Amino acid sequence: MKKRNFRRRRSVFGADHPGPETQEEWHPIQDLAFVLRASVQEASDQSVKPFLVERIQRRLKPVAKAADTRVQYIWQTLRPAGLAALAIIGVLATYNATRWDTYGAQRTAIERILGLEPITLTASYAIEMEPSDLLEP
Amino acid sequence: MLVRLHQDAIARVVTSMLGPGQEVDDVVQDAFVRCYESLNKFRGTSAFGTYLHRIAINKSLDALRRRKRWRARFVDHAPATLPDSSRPLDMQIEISDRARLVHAAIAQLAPKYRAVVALRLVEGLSTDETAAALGIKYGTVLSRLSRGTQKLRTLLQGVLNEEIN
Repeated sequence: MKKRNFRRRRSVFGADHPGPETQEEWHPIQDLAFVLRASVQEASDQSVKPFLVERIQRRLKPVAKAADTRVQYIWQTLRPAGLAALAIIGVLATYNATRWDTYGAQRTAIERILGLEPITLTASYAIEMEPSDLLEP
Repeated sequence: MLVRLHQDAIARVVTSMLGPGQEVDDVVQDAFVRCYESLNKFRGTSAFGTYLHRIAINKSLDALRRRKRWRARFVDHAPATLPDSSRPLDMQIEISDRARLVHAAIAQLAPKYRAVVALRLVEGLSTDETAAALGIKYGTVLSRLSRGTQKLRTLLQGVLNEEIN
């Protein structure tokens, strides 16, 4: 019963053209649709005031402007901090690269800039401990 | 450009849902603004028109809820001399008697039936598109459409007979 109802409804409302068995039901629906469309169109023309596009644009401007302002605010706030950080990084890198130390030419340019000690077997096994650490508490 | 392309269709959907009146213009604007704000959420799985129809229906349902709250607060507690609360709030605009009758009949439908009638019969969307726009199943569209049209045909018997003659 449920299945038959579904098939009938699909035949009447689901397609643009009815099946032969639902032809009689389909035409009054089309008449109803015609009356609805005409009445809604008439009322819609009367309800929407002229210059809708312009009014929407006016409402959209603050939304777009607010998004722009937010991005600008973040950029302006972070820019000095970013520039200062870049300057500090530059100074430290130059200092590290030009500094004379015991490792000299053993290190690569990156290691020198970052101030890293060369990784050797001796350095890996060296335990940095104070003599007091070896004493019992 | 998008507004120009879709404004008539969206205005028809909102008018079907709310009935004629000043409120339609506001809701149509709200729908386009909402659409602009949530463009990044549009995943492109359906047509843009379907997405916009969905927003228009949701905005209309919000307006109907607001209207209901307003009536509950002010009209239902007021003396019985106030206008009939089953009518749309502002029917002051000039429309023909036939359109008035049709909108009064549509207003008798529950919003979920109204939405299906608006998209499928008034806008001429396919049943699949209607189901996608409303986020409901194909079978649900068919059953709501069947009940909705049945009620409308009963209410608009006179107008339909006149149309046929």
